[in-house]
Amino acid sequence: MTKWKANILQLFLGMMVLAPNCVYGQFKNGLDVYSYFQVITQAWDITSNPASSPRNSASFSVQQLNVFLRKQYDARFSSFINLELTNSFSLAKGWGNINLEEAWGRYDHSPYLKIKFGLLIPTYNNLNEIKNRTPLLPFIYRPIAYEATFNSILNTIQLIPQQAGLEVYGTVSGRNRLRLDYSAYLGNQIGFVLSEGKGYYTPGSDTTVAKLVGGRVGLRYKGFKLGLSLAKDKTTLSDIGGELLDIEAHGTGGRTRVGMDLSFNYYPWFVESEYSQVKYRLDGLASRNLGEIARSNILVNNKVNMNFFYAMVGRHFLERYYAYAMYSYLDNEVYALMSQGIGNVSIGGGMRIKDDFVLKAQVSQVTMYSNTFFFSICTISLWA
Amino acid sequence: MHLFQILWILVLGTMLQSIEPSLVYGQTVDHVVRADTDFVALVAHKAVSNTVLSSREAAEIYRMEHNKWDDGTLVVIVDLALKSAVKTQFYNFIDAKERELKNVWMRFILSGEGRAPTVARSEKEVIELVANTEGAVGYVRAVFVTDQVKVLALIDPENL
Repeated sequence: MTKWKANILQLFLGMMVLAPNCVYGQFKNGLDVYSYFQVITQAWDITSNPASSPRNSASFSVQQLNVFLRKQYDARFSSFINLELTNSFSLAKGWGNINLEEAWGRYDHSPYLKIKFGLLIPTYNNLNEIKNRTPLLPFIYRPIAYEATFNSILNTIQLIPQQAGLEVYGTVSGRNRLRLDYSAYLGNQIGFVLSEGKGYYTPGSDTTVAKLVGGRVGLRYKGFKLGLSLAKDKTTLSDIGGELLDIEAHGTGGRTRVGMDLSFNYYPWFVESEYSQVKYRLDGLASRNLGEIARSNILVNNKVNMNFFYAMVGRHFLERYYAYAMYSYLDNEVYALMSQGIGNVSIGGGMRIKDDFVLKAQVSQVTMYSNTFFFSICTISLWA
Repeated sequence: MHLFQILWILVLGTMLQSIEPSLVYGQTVDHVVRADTDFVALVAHKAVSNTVLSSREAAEIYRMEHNKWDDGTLVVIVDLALKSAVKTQFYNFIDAKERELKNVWMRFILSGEGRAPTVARSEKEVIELVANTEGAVGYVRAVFVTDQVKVLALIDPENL
């Protein structure tokens, strides 16, 4: 086995997905109930290093099922609920998870001004709001930062704002089809206990007065779309470390996420790309603690920033078929294993059996660009 | 002003007026049925306050960028289910591809921003739906237009 093969993680995924997209029901009282799900069969081939034998597996599962409830009260007010069940959810068997993804009310003044209030997914780059809308995604496994499967080992939750509580957004129409989109939002410091015991705690609430603040400004012209995103909040050193490093030391830091998205849809071609960077400003306590940990633990670096990008090029064929190629990359400086990044090359395609019934296939290779020997730990636990 | 410049302005004005030659606004239903049976008619519920729609405005409505009429009533989009000449002609009028429009609609529906368009199986059904649904808008060949609906635009397929 060559050195290259011996020192990278190779993940070959062969996947087929059958995705009935939208089951739609409209009731006379104005309540719309609709749903989609994605059934998946996949085969894994994991090669980590010469010391460990390859791991193979194949499986069927209901990867994701979403149920939406939407009500339009009048021309200005509406509400929306999004429930998500993952990985063949079963309480009896202890499988998967059920999650309240969104629950918000909306005031629609005009295309220029709309206000959402409740539990919502904030606008950030192109993919964040629709990352779980599998009917809108040509791929099965998403770019690294958006794939929930990677979160426990790569701490991708740090890259993209996950939830907000209030969002003001709209579109200003220019001449022809030029559009200026904007959004600004406010949210909790999701999941982070920053108050150090000074805040009042109730489950699911923020114990601090510090808030996530963010927004996006974008331009659209016909199929062309360009946007800049920004989100600022605070986090803790242990959350920067994530599940893998499991840092218990105290200390907090300001977190700034900056993103840029560029996409182009010129039938039959479609192109999407996105870049996101996370920069932290650690306080004195966090800096000292991280320095000490980095000196004693070779898995931890005394640096904390993250970078992510993805690009996809695709083409429709004969109305019913499409194919694409995608590359996504992520690095996370605090993990010694991840400081040189991880890349994911995918090719895939789909066939629309019916408008709302799509057969998708995808083959991916995930490569860790690191020469260290620990990389197989996280990957085996993830995919086993 | 020089006579030559005045002539140029007149010529230019005439050209600009003919940018959307496929549109004939404000016609009565009788006129539509008698003279323009090959035209495509953009029809709306009778109570809709708008009287005309340009191709740009129709495109904004079918792309769900505008979801209200001028009087604040919610727009209800009616679309033909099956491929047909009238569907292709109307989509050309609003400069949209069927797949592109379906993706736009799907994104709006799945993000909770809007309702799915109402789908009609025939042009006769489009007229029934538009006539009986407040705020509805649809398209049919002009020959199907009745006095139950309002014509917002007439599209000449030969000039698309």
